[in-house]
Amino acid sequence: MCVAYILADMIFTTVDFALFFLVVFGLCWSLRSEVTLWKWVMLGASWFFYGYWDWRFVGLLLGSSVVNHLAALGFVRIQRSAWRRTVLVAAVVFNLGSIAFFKYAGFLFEQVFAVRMWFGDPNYEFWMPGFDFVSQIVLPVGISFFTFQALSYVVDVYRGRMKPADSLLDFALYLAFFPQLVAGPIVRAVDLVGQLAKPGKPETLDVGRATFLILGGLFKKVVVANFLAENIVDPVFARPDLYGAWDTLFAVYGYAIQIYCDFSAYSDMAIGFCLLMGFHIPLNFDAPYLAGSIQKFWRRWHISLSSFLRDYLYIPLGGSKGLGEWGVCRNLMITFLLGGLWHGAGWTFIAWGALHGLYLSVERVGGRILSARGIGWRGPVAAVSRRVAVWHLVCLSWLFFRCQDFDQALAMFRSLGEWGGSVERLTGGVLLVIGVGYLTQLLDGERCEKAWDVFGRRHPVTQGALAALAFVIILGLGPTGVAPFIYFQF
Amino acid sequence: MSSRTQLDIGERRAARHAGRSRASVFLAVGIFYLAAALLNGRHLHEDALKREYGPVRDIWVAATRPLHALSTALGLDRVRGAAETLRKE
Repeated sequence: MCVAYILADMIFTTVDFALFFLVVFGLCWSLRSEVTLWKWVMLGASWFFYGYWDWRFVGLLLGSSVVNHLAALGFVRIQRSAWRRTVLVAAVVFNLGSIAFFKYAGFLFEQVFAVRMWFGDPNYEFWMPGFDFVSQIVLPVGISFFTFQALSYVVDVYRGRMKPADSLLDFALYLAFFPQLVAGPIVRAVDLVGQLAKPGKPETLDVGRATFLILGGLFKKVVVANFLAENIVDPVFARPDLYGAWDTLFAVYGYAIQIYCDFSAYSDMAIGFCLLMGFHIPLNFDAPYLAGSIQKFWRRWHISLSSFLRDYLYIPLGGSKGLGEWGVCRNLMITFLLGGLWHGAGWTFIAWGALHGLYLSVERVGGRILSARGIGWRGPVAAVSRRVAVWHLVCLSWLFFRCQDFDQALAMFRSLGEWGGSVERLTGGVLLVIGVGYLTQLLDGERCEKAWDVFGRRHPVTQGALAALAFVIILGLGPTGVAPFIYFQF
Repeated sequence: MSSRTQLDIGERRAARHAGRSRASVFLAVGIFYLAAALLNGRHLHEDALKREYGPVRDIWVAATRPLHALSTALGLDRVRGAAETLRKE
């Protein structure tokens, strides 16, 4: 069984990280003219950041950097296409093999054992060493993210979309760069390697946008996500048999808001910290629960992952070009089943992915049939109804995502049928926070650009003081203690 | 939306020099840290006292003690206190 090993001390919402960032921010700008020294210091800081979780896995980052960069250099130097393909396959096997070992070894072993159990009582003495071994495997934080980033590098170099990094130092810095290392966004090599290789000295920094992203993210995580987890989501999901339909329904709604706020908070803060250091990384969320279709939802939710799966899995499988509807649906199902598996080693994650694959397939086929018959539904009522429908379909999938196993999911569905019971967890505060959390989507994208600019024009002393005041108020409104971000376990 | 399009929001704003000069931003960040430390003085000290015994704890406690004293003397810890009272209600 894989165990996520998380030390909370260096996550974005802690004093330790605040001190770390102050030091790195100072070094980042004071050493900018000495580019090579700057790169080594940033790499050292990123390794320190990662090693704060568990120093043993800095070796994994280093090893991944060496193997993937050597593969990229190989594509340039090797002319024979068969050999280039062999190097690509080897690099992909290395990357996916790393994830498979650390993340899925325990799950796969349990499934093999379960199949063996069908054939009668096994020899437990034979199987116990295996269980002992897999139970000791520690899941390195962020492995799913930085491994996908490494894959984007080798595949893009192979395809000729980019040249290899100028040096192993450049690639290692891209892979380990701390703001997006442990929970994304999954930044493609083509988007960040060049920025880090030639850091430059921009004349202006987008302090308005950075402040909104960091403080907005902090609010989403500390005030909304942590509150919902503590007050309704965790209690109801832990013991659904103790709660009735209203509590259970709003626990599912609450989880949808919690996971959005939790995950988008990390992405937003990562983007904000990068902005303060003079770098740009892509948006990862764009008001996903305002989407009017599942397809649009996936263009707004975890954009870096969905675009990665589209470009490196769905399109190589054939995508939707030149295939019949069954072919496209097959590709959608494969992509989303693997997308579900990426999130975690469990059947409920696979069920979550399967649901989204099914939703997209039905939406595609159904949409074409209706369109061919000239059937459409337009107007404001239709727009709202579509959004309500998408919200509920997504919430249904989150129910599986949150549950540990199908027994728990079944218990949740049973509770959803208990409409006569008392309401215990659904309070005015919970409703308010769910509503506020839903509205925080308005912080996504460019919706607050005017506010960024208004804040950005204030005197720096005013900016610093206002930001500190907001910071302290946010901390005061949140529950005590440090809760890790949900996506650290992926 | 592709990752390039998402990246363009930052690059577009950088191209029109949205934001402030680096010196201004350094000053803002410095003021932020100073103000946040003073507003949070009591909690920083309480968190330091909860750390595991050892030299790291001793350093944190020594560093946060004057912050706590100054924050309390100036009444700056009341801001967070008020927010916490609001949360409990």
